[in-house]
Amino acid sequence: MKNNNVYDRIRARVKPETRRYARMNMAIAMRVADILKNKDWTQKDLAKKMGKAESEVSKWLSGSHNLTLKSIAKMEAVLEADVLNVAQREAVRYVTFYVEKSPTGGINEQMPKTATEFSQFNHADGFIAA
Amino acid sequence: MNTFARLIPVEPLSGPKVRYYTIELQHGEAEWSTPESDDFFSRHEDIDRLADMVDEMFVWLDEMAHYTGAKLEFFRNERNALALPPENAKRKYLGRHLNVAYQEYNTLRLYLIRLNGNVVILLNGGEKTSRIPEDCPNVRAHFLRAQQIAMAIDDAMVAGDIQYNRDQTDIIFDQDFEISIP
Repeated sequence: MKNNNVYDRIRARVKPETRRYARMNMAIAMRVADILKNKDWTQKDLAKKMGKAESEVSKWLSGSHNLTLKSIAKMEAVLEADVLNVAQREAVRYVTFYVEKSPTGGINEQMPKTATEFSQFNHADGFIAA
Repeated sequence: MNTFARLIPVEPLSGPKVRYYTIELQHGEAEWSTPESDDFFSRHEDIDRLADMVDEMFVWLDEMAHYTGAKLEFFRNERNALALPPENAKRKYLGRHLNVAYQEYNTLRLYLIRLNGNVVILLNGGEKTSRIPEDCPNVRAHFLRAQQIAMAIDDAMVAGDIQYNRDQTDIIFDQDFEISIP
């Protein structure tokens, strides 16, 4: 019989790689926002420093442009920040920061402590097989 | 004929970081509708070509609820409202470098109202088929309704009909609170 709660149905079928991918996405999103905020930069500032038109950088960031490794490397150089390796590092950071300091208090012993553990962690079910 | 909306919590999606709400609608004297976010996920969950997009969107909401909170950078602007999924750049970047399967373009749109990093009102949406939402038969009505509701919620906040709790992690409103939508 079909579960009559659509949220539970979808939660049950989500593939581990989908969840992992979303977590990394979120980590990247936070990372980019952090870099721009810390530098007090806008997209326009970034474009100027890269010698590109604002519309071009905007296109990169809106996803309508097929970013090359060269473009990413240049962006990293201008931002003076590591972007390529950021996903897992930031993912661990957000888990440790947001979960360990949660209002419910203390470190949850079930939570991942390392990047490897993090990649295997599914909050709904606890640790999952690699 | 006026349409009324009332807020209801979405308990199965809410977590320690985000409380989700959605709305039920009543057109004239008709019965209250299926909650908008339930309708959104129910209508799309079994469409094969959209399944990955639905799952991905669901996971974003789930992760926000449990880990990160509803950070502004996770959403895309949709005039007075917001929507999921976020802009595509970071998604494409990850897909390429981590060799993870991903949707080149997630064409689903779920309109929502982010009151703050802890409280989000999920609305409805659909598969967007044109650049301008008003031109898309699938999302036009949902997009326009999202604009109306966003303004009505804003008015209700200003009037004090909807208030934050003390630590702004939830909202408080009368159980019979309803919003009139022209």
